Amino acid sequence: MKPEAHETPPVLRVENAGKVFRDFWRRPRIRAVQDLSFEVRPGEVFGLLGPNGSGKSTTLKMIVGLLRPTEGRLHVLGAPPTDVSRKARIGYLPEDSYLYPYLTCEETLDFFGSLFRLPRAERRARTAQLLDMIGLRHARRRPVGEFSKGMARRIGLAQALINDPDLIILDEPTSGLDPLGCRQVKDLILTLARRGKAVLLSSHLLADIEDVCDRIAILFNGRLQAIGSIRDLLEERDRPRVTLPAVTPEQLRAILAALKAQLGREPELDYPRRNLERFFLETVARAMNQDTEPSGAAPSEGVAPYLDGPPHA
Amino acid sequence: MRKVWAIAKLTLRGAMRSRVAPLLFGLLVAVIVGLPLTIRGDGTLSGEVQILVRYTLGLAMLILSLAALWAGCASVSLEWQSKKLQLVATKPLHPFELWLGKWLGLVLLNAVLLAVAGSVTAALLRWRLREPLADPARRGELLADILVARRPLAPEPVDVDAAALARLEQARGLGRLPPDVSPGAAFEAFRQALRTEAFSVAPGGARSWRYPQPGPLDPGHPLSLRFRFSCSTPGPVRVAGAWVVRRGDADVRVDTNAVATTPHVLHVPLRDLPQEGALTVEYRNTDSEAVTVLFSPDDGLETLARAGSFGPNYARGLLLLFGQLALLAALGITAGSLFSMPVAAFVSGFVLLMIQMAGDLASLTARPITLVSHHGDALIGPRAAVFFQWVFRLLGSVASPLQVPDALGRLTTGILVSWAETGRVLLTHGLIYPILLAGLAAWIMRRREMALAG
Ligand SMILES: Nc1ncnc2c1ncn2[C@@H]1O[C@H](COP(=O)(O)OP(=O)(O)OP(=O)(O)O)[C@@H](O)[C@H]1O
Ligand SMILES: [Mg+2]
Repeated sequence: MKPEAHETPPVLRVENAGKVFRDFWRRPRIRAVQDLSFEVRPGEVFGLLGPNGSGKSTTLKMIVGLLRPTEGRLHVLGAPPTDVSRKARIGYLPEDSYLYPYLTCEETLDFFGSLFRLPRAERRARTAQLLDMIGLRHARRRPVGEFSKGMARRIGLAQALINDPDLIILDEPTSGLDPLGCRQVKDLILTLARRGKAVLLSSHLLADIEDVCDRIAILFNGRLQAIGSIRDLLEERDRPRVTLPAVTPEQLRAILAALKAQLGREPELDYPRRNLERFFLETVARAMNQDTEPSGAAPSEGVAPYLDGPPHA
Repeated sequence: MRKVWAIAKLTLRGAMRSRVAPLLFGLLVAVIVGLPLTIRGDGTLSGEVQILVRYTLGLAMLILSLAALWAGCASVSLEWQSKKLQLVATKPLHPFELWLGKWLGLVLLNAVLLAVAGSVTAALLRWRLREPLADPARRGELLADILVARRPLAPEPVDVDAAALARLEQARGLGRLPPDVSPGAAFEAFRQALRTEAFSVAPGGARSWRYPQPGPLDPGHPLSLRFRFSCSTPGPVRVAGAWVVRRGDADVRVDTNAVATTPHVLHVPLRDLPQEGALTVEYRNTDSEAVTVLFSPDDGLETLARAGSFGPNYARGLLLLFGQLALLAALGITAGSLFSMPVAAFVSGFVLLMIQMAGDLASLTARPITLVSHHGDALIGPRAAVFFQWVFRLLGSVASPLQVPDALGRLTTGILVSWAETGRVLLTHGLIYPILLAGLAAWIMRRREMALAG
């Protein structure tokens, strides 16, 4: 976690927000979110966690102005969520990528770019960079209606970033993505945060959250159950772990003996495994060097240069 | 504007790639080329021209109208239902811009399709009038009477109210008014009788119509008299008569021997008449039999002066139709922004019906609305009656600016569609009402939670 994060004013402040869905006769039907408060600051990655139907998407929709809170208040970039001008600085990836199926990949990004009044040359440049980043350059002339779920998700992610937003709201960004895509998205999120962007994401993939988030909130039935920095919440201070460089069996035996003498009992010994993610990534990387013409997503060319410029003031 | 244009482009792409636009295009061309082949006219050249312009272009216009309304309704409501608007709504786009973009897209599409329909029709018309296909004499007639733009002259109004009132008083004084006839009804009956009298010509008599301000009359082109009469001898008999057109101290006389009940056109040369002053058209009943000639008070005689050629008139007619399509698209989009799909289509259809009925509404609002059962009891109280009168008056005043001249009817009878009328329709249908509708839609959309299902 960045030390300066606490000094800058929050990009997003949610104060005691609640949402009750009503039926046609305005009778309260579902209490989707209750008394929820949190803040997200520039450069911070904030994760919303919770089981299905716990109110994650509802919270994000209130923040982007698609739903109105029935209680409490939200301040997005210093204004209420319905303020049209602030939307120029927000990027939103909805839970499903609601794209126009008849537009091609390139046209989709160009269309969303025009909604931000980006000049044509800028739209072109960003579209090309984003397509390289999401690995869909070879599919840029294909209508997105025929894309696979993960490919559509990648386009959805790209459209959320076309305006180089300061507040990025991602509803389950890794859902439908292959492990490679997941890794890229996570790297992207970290790059964006490093540049001072605030990222708010929801997921129920705990590993993803753990990899990228500085702070998290856990929701259940629309209520906040826990909130704090990942380190504070997860660290078990009474069980330290020591990592050794490569040692000979004799050295290891000597170290264990010394430890036993010190602690008064036998310490646990195990060997770290490569995790499956790393193994998968290495295997695919090897295969990619042999195959030439991809039909799905191609390897990413890295974060789009315009997103990876010098950090914001 | 970049945002509006982006939405417009999106709408056009959607129409093209969902194959709606190509389908409409094909349908229009098929209708315009196919319909004249399947409808059997009266065999005359002018009959064919009428079919081509009125029915073929009319059907094309009907298709385009339905498409404009339907596409308008669908363009917002379906995108809303399929949640595509959810993503668009998180962008810095005002609902007004969204509306405008959708409308611009549909209007452009309609403009292109209408232009195609108009040009195909014009090309067919041209082809049909080529020398080897058309008899030159018939062709000349057609060019003089149908493929031309003529301005109807406004006659001095016939005021029969005073006379009708006098007759009513007289009948009352003599005690000859039946007790079960209301004075209002009796007055109306006298008025009708007097109006009929004012358009009848007794044997050996004459009747004249005065045009105090005929406007500029081109001496190089004849004045057209379109007339139709019935006579006291039943059936299609020939009646001898003479038309005399007078201006200043000169006149032109044309003798006729016309058949009753069928429409006639007479061309009276204006060469020898002075350029100034009021114009008088007189009919003299010179038949040797003692028949009375009756012109219908409403459309028995029309005096038409040439005001231009057919081409520009046709273009103005198409512009008039275009204005109507622009309004339909606007109505559809607003309905689609307020309601989900079938409801939107139903509502906009209903509104359209109200606009069509605006004339009737206006006449209803003259007095408080009364609903009477067949026993004669009033079904609604006087307050309700006044309330409904105001409701109808309001609806009438919203809808009456939307009354449009019948462009196709005029084009097939060689009547001028003036620039003033065209401009007015483009202003109301293509600008003012769409902006009002856009404002309404934007106002509601801003208050709506986009993520809620329809
Ligand atoms: N438009 C709506 N109308 C009525 N109820 C809704 C609506 N949207 C969401 N809800 C309800 O609100 C609750 C929270 O839903 P939400 O979509 O926020 O959950 P979530 O945490 O995003 O779940 P998931 O992990 O499945 O995406 C659910 O009970 C859901 O049924
Ligand atoms: Mg969700």
